[in-house]
Amino acid sequence: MAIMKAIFENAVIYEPATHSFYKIENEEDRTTIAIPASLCLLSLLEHRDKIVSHDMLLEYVWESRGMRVSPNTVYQNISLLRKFLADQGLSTEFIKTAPKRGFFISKNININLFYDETSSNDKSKNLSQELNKPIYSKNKSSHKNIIYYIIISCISIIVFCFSYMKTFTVSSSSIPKYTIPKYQELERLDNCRIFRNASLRDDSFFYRIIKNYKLECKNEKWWYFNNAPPDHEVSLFRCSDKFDINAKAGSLSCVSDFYIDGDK
Amino acid sequence: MITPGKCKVFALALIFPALIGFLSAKFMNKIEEKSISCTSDYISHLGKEVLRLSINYNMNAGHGFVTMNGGLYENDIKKNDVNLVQSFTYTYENENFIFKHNKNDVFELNDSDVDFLRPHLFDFFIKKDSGPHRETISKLMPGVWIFTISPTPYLICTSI
Repeated sequence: MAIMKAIFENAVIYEPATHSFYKIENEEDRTTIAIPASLCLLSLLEHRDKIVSHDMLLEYVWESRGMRVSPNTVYQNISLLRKFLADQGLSTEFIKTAPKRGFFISKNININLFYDETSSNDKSKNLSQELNKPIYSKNKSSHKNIIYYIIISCISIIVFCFSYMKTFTVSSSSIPKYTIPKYQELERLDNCRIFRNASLRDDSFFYRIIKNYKLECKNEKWWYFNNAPPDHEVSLFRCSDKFDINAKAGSLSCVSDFYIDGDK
Repeated sequence: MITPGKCKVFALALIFPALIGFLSAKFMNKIEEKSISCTSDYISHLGKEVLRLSINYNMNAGHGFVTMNGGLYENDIKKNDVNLVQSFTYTYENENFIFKHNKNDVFELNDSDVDFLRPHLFDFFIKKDSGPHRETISKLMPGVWIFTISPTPYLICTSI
């Protein structure tokens, strides 16, 4: 008869068919153990009062299924099994070693075994397919990992774009903006509006330039005189439109006049 | 469930891209914002002389050249043709562009060829052994730059 269920220390339940463990008060929260370690434990339970040799475990767990493994594999699985049982709150002396002979379950452990009278004494199916599963398999879905990495990638991209745009915009004024000086309007010349920068220079200074150089209002209707007294040099920007820092690119065309002698 | 490991990954996902984005933008700003490509109609008046030039500036990543084409007029009669091409390197310091001659460039103009330009243009553009030229360039609006030799702005240059 096959062992259907084993209760250890009236606290932990082991189900060989599903290779899972759970607390007696919480059947929903199950932890599965890898098949080789589970079968090692099953073998030890089936031979509760005996020492199970290395060869018996090799044959029972692996060779009966056509698998050849090194003797060290037995030790590794027993070691992992002991750690797993300890993690479940069971004694570290649960599985004892009989030197050069094998392993056995300590008689000090309180174990209740329940048998399935109807089932054949058959091990779990698809053993060879599951031998590569890790000991602590918690049924993690690979889909969750993919979603996790996608989220991280999206966050990274968003943060990069935000940081780039913010920095680019803030520091895009590395060529400083021209501070348009305060201009005062002079008398119009035909359809041209004429401005001069505010300074101590008298308006007549600029009118003399207009007169001396016989300036005429043509295509450029917005004139801006610039002079910094006591210098006599004068620049005149004759533009198609008024100075507007918010204007679109390409909307302004100007002719730059420079009067080296000013009004002389 | 959020584990300490996941917290670290999230923190890295925030800090590292932010840093890369910041540095990339700074680098692009260095390249792009010092680039100027513009043209200007410039007229210099001295007594009866009028120098009419079409000036083109092309400046990018520390290298630039300027072309000046036009002529010198006196009493509306053309006296001299002007066709200058000057290449230079430039740096940007304290809100000023510093132009320097390329050492390996061949300067084709002789001094005697350009005497008539001296009253109108800076030596940097007409003498091969002139020192660095300091120019203040400000942005009036997108695609429009104003060149200033303190304290008077003298040239408006609009993008080509």
